[in-house]
Amino acid sequence: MTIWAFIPLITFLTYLALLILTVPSLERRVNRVFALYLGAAAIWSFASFMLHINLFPEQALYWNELLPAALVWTLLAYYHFIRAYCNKRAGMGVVIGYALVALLLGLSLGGFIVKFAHVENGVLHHDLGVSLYFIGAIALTVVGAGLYQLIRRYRSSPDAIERNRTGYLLAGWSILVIFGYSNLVPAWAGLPLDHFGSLANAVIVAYAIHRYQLLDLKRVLRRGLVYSSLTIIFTAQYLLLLLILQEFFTDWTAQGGLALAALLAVLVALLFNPLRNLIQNWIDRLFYRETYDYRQMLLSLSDQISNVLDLGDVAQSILVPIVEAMHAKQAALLFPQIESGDFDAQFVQQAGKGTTSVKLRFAGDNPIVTWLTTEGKTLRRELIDVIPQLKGLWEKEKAVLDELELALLCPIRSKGRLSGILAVGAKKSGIPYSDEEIDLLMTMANEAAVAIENARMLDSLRIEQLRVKRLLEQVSNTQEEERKRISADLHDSVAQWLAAASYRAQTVNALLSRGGVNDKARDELDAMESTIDKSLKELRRVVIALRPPALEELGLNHALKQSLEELQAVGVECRFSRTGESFRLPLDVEIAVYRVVQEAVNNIRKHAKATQASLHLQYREDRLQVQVRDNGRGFDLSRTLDSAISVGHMGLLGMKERVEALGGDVKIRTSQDGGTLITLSFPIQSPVEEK
Amino acid sequence: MAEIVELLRQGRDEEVWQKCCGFIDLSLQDFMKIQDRLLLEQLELLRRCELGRYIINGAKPGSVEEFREQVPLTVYDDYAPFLLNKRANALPKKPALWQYTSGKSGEYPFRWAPVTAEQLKEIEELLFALLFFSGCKRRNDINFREDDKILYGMAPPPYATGTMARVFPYQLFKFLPPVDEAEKQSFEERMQRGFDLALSEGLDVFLALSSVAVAIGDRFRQQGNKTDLKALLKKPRAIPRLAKGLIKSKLAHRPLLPRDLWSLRGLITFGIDSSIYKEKIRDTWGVEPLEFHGCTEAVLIAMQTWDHEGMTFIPSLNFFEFIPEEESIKSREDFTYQPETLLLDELKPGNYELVITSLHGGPFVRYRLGHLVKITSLRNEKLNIDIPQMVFLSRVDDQIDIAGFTRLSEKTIWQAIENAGLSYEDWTARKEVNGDPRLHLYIELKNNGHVTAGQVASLVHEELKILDAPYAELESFTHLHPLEVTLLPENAFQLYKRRQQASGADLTQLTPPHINPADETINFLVKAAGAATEEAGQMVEA
Repeated sequence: MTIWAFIPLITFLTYLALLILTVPSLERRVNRVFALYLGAAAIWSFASFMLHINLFPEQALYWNELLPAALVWTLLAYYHFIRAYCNKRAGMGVVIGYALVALLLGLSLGGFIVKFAHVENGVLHHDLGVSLYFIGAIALTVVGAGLYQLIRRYRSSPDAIERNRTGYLLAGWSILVIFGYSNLVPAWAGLPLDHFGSLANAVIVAYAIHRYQLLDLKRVLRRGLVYSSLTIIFTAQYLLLLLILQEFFTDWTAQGGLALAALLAVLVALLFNPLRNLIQNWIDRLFYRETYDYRQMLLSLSDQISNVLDLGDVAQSILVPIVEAMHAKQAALLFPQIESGDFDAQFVQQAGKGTTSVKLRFAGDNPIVTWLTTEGKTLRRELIDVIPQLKGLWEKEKAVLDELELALLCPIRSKGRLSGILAVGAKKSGIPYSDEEIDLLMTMANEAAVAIENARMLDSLRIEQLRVKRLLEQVSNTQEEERKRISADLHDSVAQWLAAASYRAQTVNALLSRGGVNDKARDELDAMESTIDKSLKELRRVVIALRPPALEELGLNHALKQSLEELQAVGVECRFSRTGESFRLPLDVEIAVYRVVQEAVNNIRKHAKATQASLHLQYREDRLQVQVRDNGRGFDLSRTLDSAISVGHMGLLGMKERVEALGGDVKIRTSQDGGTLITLSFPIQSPVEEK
Repeated sequence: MAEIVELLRQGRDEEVWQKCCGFIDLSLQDFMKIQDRLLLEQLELLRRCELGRYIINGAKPGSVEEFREQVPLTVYDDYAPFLLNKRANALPKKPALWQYTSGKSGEYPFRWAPVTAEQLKEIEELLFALLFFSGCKRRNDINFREDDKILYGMAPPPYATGTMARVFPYQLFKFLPPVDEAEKQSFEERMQRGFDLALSEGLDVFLALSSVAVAIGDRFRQQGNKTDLKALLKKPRAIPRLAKGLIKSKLAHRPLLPRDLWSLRGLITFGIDSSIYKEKIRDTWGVEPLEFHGCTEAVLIAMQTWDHEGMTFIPSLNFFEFIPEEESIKSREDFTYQPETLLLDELKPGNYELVITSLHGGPFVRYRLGHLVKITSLRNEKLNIDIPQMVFLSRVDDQIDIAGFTRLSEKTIWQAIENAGLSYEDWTARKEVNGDPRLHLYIELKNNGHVTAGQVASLVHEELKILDAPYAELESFTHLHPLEVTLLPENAFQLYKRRQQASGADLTQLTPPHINPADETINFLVKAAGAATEEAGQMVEA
């Protein structure tokens, strides 16, 4: 065997390995055509290897007859791949080309092309006659067409990554062509130098697959490399050991040889696992270079954070390795606000020192939040412009994503609901995230979900405890105040008046005991009647304030409409509307709705400085929804809630607690000078007809 | 657009399909969410501009319900002070381009409407959707590739269909002739040049007004199998195609038709007559035409999918409201009456007048388009599309009310004439009351001389009875035969066209309206054209 036979052997093995790696991804047309090219190139290399190894000199002519057709087929298959890569149909040219390859093969095997062929010292001596020009012309046409397609594609593509991919293909194709025509140089004719070009092309394509995700084969490539390296090492190791042992023990019997071979196989098998780990490690380091350690950290994340209960620490453990391992510009964790349901970026990690004034925030009804909740998959930025459910995004919402150079949004789900969002910025290199990286992030998000949930639960528990404490105080205070108010009301009016009535009764008694009915006694009786009437009215007012009779007698619609009257009295333009057929709800629910609306109306009257307010009731089959909106000055919800908790003004929180206790839900949306919208909704179980 | 083109070039067909055609897979609930959200975005834009404040008139709707309660329905008059003078600064967003449609008599010569860059982006995706639907057999089936050849037979810019040509991905496909060249040519020149190129280079997609698609077929039929050898020698690349076509037509024993020359992958037609000419177009071109519905103000409203049945509404270009037909009629009889509107998820099958609010910074708010559409079903069972399906019926004011029994639309009358098997140049009709109310049809027959007006009236009357049940009842209840026909002299429509051209009329005003033309138009068609024809005849005799 000469050194020249090694070149096609190496290219054959490389093509074969690439072909095996491509097989799992054959569902894409471009991958299928690429596999076709690899097959053709492998056959070409194998034929060349068989020719140059010259094991059977009498077969030289046969292998040489295969070579011209295999060469043209390889070039044509690569051109076909270029067309598929450019998303063009194969076209008539490719069909004609394949027909010519078949014709060439037929003519060649029929002995019409190669006149003679033999190999001496690894150098091929042959005569193709005039057919050489025919083959050259076909090859030249294919080469020219391929170059034209790639250059056109390169020039027309606005996408930098795409241009890079095309650039690599262009470089590979050029090298393939240059080496392919080495046979025309008399000094090199007969040497398999063209396979150097072919090998270089294969390596460039493999690099483009890895670096620029040419064919989405990176994961396969990484895994495949481990196993193909293992196979090569073990085969070589086994053969070498066998060869050495045979050198020393030449007089072994067949059984002895068999036993030796088996022993060696066991030895090699024992080495399999440690060697595989070593190679996997080596290849991972080769692929991920300086980010390897961070990737390892990400992979062992669940162990690291399982016992961490501080949300800030958990966020740090997640965000820092992501930014470092993925070379991301930034990463952030978003969690939902308890009251509004909006997702806010609460922890941000940036690669550099630069900061951005834009804060990432998704409203609770943002289609992205809905999509992440329902799909539970990572959302790539470019898919936001693709997925139809996200058509409802506003221009300014998209602008924020672009300004932040966001690349990925991973849902963090716990117990089937969205408990957070991991937002990852674009890579510093601008290269998109590979599927493998996205899988890694998703795995990590899933593993982090439990820790995040625990930490958040602890946080909410603390807030909840404080809130309950404040609520209890509030309930106690309210009760005391209410008692005080009722006592004062009764003391200042009814008690005084009834005392007066008692005094008047005594006077009448005295007058009557003096004998006869006189005018004075009648006047006293009239005054007494008037005092008792007044007392009754006041008592009724106090009772009404405790529970409005309109609610029980005339229903929720009427009572709520009535509640707007006090706003109208202070000059706020009010609008009441209703959709759907109204029906009665359980009394405790109606009272809760009434009290919440009363609280909202009080807030508008006291604080909002609104000129307009509206109350809308929507009766649906499954729920009642009430919206109270004003155009007032709004307020800072989170600050108000914080201060409410700390100072004990529990109006808003009181509303929420009251409604949630009955299975309902309150949402408050407010912005400075943008008014306030309070949405209250109750699920309906068994509605009763409205009176 | 570059983005879709790039995705197509990279072979990412699934993403392209989802981006452009994915709206057909939305649930009705998702559809409404998109509508609601984009409406709220639009309301913010309207609040900040002069036109918005003028139209909304102080109201501050913060939800869809409030929007429907507080904002009045509008018509073009409300926008005329802003749009006729192209006051870009008063609009919700700066327009990327302006397009127009011809106004009806007594209104404005043109009704201008702006289109924003964001709307154009949506339109681009929808044009791809139209293209993909026209050539597919199932979901994700994209049958178009770079350099496919497209012939464009619609109006030039600034008509809305011309805007579509500009927006169409001409860098990806090969337009015959190229768009820049085409815009400098007259419609006739453009079509001629396009066909010359198509003969040599092939044709994959034809986008045309339905009348144009039919007229081309008619020309082929009239021409028979005659070929101009001299002309052919100038374009030798056309010879194989022509030879193949001639063989196919000979084998089928009929004149050469476009279907013999090209195997179209997509055919998209537009116009009220699309459904009337559907069969004829399929016979001529060999593929089923895909219809869509749109107009200058709304651009695109709905489009058919690959079953070529009802059209599916588009969620992201306009916010839709619907006035039930009875309410619509009532509001037209009493201008002070504000009809109630329904949203897409509140509809039942039936007839409705369309009301749109432009999204993405467009100017129209609760705008009555005057389009009467029929909701044929609440979903497309066959293709599993969960969005109500529609067909366009007519403009609400393009209907002829006969004795309160029936309202005949342009489409119904046209269909009746077609079904009657008449060979005609063109027609126009109006309601005339001379004692009893009657529908008066003025029609110019081709190769006139063998059919009388009475025969035409009888044929069309019978077809109208089949097509419109209330019309049939009119006769059975009242014994009224409400159709009168006048046969117009030969070339009446041709002379009308020449007169309009001489007076510098716009492209869309070269033919008289089909419904309710003015007295002057009828007088010209009946008398002046008749006199001119007679005069020409006398000159020939002399």
